[in-house]
Amino acid sequence: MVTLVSSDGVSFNVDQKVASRSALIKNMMEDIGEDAGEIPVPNVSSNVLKKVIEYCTYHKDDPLPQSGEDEGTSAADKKKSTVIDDWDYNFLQVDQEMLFEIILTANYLDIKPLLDVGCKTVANMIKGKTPEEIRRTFNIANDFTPEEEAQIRRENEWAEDR
Amino acid sequence: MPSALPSGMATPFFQSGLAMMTPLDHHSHFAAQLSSATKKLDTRQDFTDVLPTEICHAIFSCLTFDDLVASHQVSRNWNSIITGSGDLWREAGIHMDRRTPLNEVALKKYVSYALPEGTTQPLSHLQLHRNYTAEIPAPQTIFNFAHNISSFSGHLQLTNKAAKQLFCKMTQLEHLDLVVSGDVLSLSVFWNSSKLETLRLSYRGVADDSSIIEVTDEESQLVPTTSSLKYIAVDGLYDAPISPSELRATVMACSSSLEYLSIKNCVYSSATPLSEHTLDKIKLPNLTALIYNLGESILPNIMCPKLKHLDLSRFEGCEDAIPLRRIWGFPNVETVVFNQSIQIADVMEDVLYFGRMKSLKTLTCMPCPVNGEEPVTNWKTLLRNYSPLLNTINV
Repeated sequence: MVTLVSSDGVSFNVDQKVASRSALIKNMMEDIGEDAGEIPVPNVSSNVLKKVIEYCTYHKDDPLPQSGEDEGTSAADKKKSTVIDDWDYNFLQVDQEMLFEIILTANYLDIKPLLDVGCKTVANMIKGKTPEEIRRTFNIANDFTPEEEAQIRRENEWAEDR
Repeated sequence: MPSALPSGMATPFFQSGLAMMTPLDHHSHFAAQLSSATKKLDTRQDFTDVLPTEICHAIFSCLTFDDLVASHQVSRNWNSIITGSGDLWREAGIHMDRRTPLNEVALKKYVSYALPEGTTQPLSHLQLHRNYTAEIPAPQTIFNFAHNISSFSGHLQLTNKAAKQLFCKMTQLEHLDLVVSGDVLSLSVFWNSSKLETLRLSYRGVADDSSIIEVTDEESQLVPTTSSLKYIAVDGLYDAPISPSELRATVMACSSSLEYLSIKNCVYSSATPLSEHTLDKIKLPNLTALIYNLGESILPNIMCPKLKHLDLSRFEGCEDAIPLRRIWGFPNVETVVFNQSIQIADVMEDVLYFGRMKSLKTLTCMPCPVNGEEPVTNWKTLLRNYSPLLNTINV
């Protein structure tokens, strides 16, 4: 077992196999040895760390991604792979604040599959939407000037036939 | 008095010591509290403000061309991130297939995003119209970046000369899927990249003012002698100007790599039509699928031991089974599609023929192979006896 301590001081006792889903923690455990003891996870709050541990626990038996695995994956394959499996999809049905925190944590802890599925989830929130729908989805203000907007519309007038 | 409501929820005015307020004050106070609570619940935010650039890039890289077009119009920040990354556009490709008419200004703009000056990486895909009614002339714009395209699909109306000029620039091309109309007659026109793996051509009629041009031996020699082509599909729509010498040279050149060969509807196409001997005795060791329809009594006499799928449907005018029995060397074929009416006397011979196909799993015959004298079930039973893996017979 290893103990992960969140930024707000909450401790989580986690099986080493679960913790090893994070390449960062795995390397730390290898460096420190068996008596890893408490591993601080600064910048990750307890509610986010709890979610990330939930993900790692569910996927603890999955094969670990190899380094450089993405090399050779074609763009078309990437597009296809925005399909997310059911468990991951339900797991990431959280508000945007939590979703982005999970993505940041996956990036920090180097949990590549979680980072990938997080990015896909955000990408799926964009797919098939008009610019205005995307703005509404992410609460973004349209900061183009009317002239710029008119020009963009002219350049893309064919796209409105979609 | 403690409130039973969770924090963030509006406190009812009658509990809050505000009973002396006017109804308008109550309304304003309640609205302000509700607005504050709603803001707390609304976690929507622009992820480009909170996530690092490389993660934003990873998110945008999951998008298709259409999504990138929409996304770069969202805000200045999104526009800057998306238009500043050639990778995103190069990997998504440029798909103008649903745009009528072609907006060349837009095409130029997206090409400038995908292939900024100094880029050596090619555009993954350029797709123009494939719609039969939306023929477009060769857009001059394409000439400027033709050397930087790995995959191209569309419908072009071209003269043979213009096609040569365009495709001779496409030296990086790996996949070509083209509907061609005009007087493009020569297969060698499309062979300018040693990387070419897929060659798919659908002819849509030769231009009215062009007569059939015979491809000379000199032109057929323009086809490379070796290539890594894996997929050849030519659909002639009964008007394909394919020359036998070029087709043979093409198949010969890629004989060791070819996995898929489809020659359809190439009937009575050129002054010297394709014949049953066009591909005579060519060995295709890696071919797994063969779709072949050149017309009456024309069957390829080729060797392809790994063949799994054989489709001879639309095989016109064959009222006997003789051509079918001429095919040899397909011991591993799993699916067969053909159509011809077979006299009952031929059925038994066919059973023997298919009986050699020990791996046969699916047989589709259009129309029904039996002329009514023999029940279909008897025919099926015989086939199953000789091809033990056969589990689906569609007639």
